Amino acid sequence: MPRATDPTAQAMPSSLEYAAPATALSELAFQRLYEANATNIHSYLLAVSARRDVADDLLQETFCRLLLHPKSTAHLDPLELRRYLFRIATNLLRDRYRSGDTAPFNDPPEPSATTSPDTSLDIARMLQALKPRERELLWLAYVEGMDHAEISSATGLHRLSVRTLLFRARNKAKQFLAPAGGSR
Amino acid sequence: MTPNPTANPTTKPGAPCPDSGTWVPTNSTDDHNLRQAFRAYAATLAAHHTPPPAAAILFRAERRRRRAAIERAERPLLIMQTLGFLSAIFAAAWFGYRFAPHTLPTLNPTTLAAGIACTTLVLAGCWAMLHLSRHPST
Repeated sequence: MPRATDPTAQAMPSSLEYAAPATALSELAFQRLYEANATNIHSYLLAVSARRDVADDLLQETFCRLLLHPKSTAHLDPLELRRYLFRIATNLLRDRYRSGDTAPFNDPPEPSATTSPDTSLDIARMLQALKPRERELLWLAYVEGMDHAEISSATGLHRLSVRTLLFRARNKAKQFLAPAGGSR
Repeated sequence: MTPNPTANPTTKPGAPCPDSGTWVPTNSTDDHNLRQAFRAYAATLAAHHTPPPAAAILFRAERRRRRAAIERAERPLLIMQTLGFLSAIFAAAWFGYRFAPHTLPTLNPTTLAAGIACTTLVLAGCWAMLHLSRHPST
């Protein structure tokens, strides 16, 4: 399973490396942590916000907050830390939506390259049709391979809510599934 | 086996599933296609958009940390400035009351001059400190 043998988990620093207080997370440990997680979180932010500038900014803010509050993460193991980073990123996305800075999909990332040859599924178009929360849930479930408890931890939603919302999101997403060579 | 998080949470359509921690896999073909498509899309995103360098984040965090440290260091000074300003206002009000016009005839001119001078001095000093702390370059 992707979670059990997550290669990023091995690449991440152990909690001992950032257990010291204050400026604890050394540059090397941070580099390793960043390399292990940045691409995943950046893709997540890109997929949900669909804006490169927003994704870049929120990614920096996510890791910045981690650096500024090392004590709160010192006891976390690598997988928990990963979920914690997703939690920060998700909260930042929601703050952005609440602040009214919502101009999604002005810059759809590479729409031509996103069509699956098997299913004629245009993920970018599908994401465009979904609500931000649905995008978050589907991404965490399908791309990050998280289960309900992990998604709940990463989004702050109740586990039962995750189940229901994910089910609805999945049903919405399925509407965009078309057989190969379909009319869409 | 890891439960399938995207599986239908109902044991049958429309029926609520008890919170048992087990999942009922349904529509596995759709799920598989969706997962494939999502992962292909994620790979495309990762290939086309590289995250900003870690150094930029370290720099940003360092800058923010310094700003926070400066704010922390300035806080007592700011509190004292505010207290000084409030004290000056209180002193001015007290002087105004104490040496009101009806008492002026009996007031010693030297005392009056000293009081006015002190109040002016305190107010000017507070204003200068506040001004300098806001505009250090001046």
